[in-house]
Amino acid sequence: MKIWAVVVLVLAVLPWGGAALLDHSASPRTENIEAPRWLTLEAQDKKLRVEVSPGWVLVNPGESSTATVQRGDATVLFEARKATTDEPRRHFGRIARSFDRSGVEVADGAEFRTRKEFAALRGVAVAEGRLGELVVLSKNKAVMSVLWLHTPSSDEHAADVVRMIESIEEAS
Amino acid sequence: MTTTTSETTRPFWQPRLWVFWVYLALTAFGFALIVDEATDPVLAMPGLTALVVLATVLLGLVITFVVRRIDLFRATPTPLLVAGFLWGAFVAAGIAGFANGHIEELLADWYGAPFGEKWTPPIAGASTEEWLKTLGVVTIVLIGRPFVRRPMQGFVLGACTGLGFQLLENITYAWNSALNSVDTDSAGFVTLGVRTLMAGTSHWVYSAICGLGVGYALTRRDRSFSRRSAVAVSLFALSWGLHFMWNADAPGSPAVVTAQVVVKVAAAVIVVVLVYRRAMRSEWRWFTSTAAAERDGIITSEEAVSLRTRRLRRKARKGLRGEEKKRMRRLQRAQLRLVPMVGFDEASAEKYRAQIWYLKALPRNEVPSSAATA
Repeated sequence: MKIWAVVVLVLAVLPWGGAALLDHSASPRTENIEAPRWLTLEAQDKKLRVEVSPGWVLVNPGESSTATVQRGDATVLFEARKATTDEPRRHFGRIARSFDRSGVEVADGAEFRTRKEFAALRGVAVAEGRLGELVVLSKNKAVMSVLWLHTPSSDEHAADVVRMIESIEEAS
Repeated sequence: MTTTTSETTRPFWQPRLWVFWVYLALTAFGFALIVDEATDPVLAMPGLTALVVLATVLLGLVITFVVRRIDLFRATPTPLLVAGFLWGAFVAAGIAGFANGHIEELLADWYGAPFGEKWTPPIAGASTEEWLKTLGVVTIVLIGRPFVRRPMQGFVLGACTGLGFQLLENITYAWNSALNSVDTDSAGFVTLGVRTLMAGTSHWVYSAICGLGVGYALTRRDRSFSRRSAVAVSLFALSWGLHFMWNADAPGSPAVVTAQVVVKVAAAVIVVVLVYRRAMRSEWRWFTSTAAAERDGIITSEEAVSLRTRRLRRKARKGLRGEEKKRMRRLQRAQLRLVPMVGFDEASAEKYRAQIWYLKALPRNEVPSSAATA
């Protein structure tokens, strides 16, 4: 009977379609209309801080290791992570190959201290499908990764993003 | 009700049913999703992938052996079981991955990222995964409806569907652990090892419970619709609860975490054993009533009792030697195969009756040829 075929089809795509619909219609939880001037993030007992440019909004506050700031439709994700010894090069090589296959652009001069950043950032990039640039900076024994998602207005805010990246420093 | 379906009819290949084509389309779609997700890890970690797949196949064989053992009458055609397995591996696993991602985003939007991170596995995992796997059992029953006639078959179909999901998930978890590991791929093996240790009370068990509910709802037409619905919903809720409990982690010391795991495993074992025993009591009532309706001598009441469990079957063969023991084994097998055919496939039933008469009429110590008992 055709009706059962329709029922099965609808019920099969319901979890995905329903969740996607709700997800897209939900507004991101945004608090603190204006971001604090300094964000302090922790990774393995090491603290890093970022000077947030004026006009940016902090999204999803309350986390200790990650922070997302937005301005318009431009988004920058900061994530403090544990730093480790340098990865064997072979790891970089093969991950980088799969990274390239996904069509993600890697910014010139981007530095990846660990495979973990690579994998994590790649996961976000693939999920979002719109990764623009990423930078991983190492400070002492912690690492700050910065993910900048390309959006129509992101170029307007490029100077802000660069300023924030350059401001990353170790917190006392 | 007697059907004209021959035993040799293909139970799965039903091109006249639209639901059959929907099954194929969804499986192909799920397969494409999985391939897309798998391409990068496979290329990045070919060695790990090969070993993980090998270990997963071995685990799958072990659990398949267990599932076939608990299916005492083996009445569900293998193609349907394989179809359930493929649905679990591709449709359920493929779609659930994306659905869970959206639910995590949604929970993060509504209640904050920490909440989303902590509660997505129990909420989204239990909901989307149990939903999709159960839908697989429903779909397989709709396709092979003449061949699925008792609740216990739903239990076995559910176990196979859950097993497909579980094995695919094991591989993806191993990949993710290796990718997120700082220095080495070996984290993938650690994850796989832990999941293998816990494999006895995982997806195949949850889905078997749900499958029993589906089997009850769709085959026990002698019961009221409300009762069948209530049983199906209750068993789904039970399965959902076990899955939710397993995925919900309360942080604590290693001792606390270990205690949690022990409690969760014990709860799953207790629940599935109770459900299985209840289902088997019903299965046994069906078996004895069907056997009793047979002509005198085909299956005596003593023989029926001795067929109830594998232990009793072994006991009935105890003390027999050589060809006599072989003959008893073949007789038991023919009697076990006869009962599911009664009222369903009379041509096959007559074949088994003839075998039984032949085996019973043989003089002691005469060797039955394999051709005669095939």
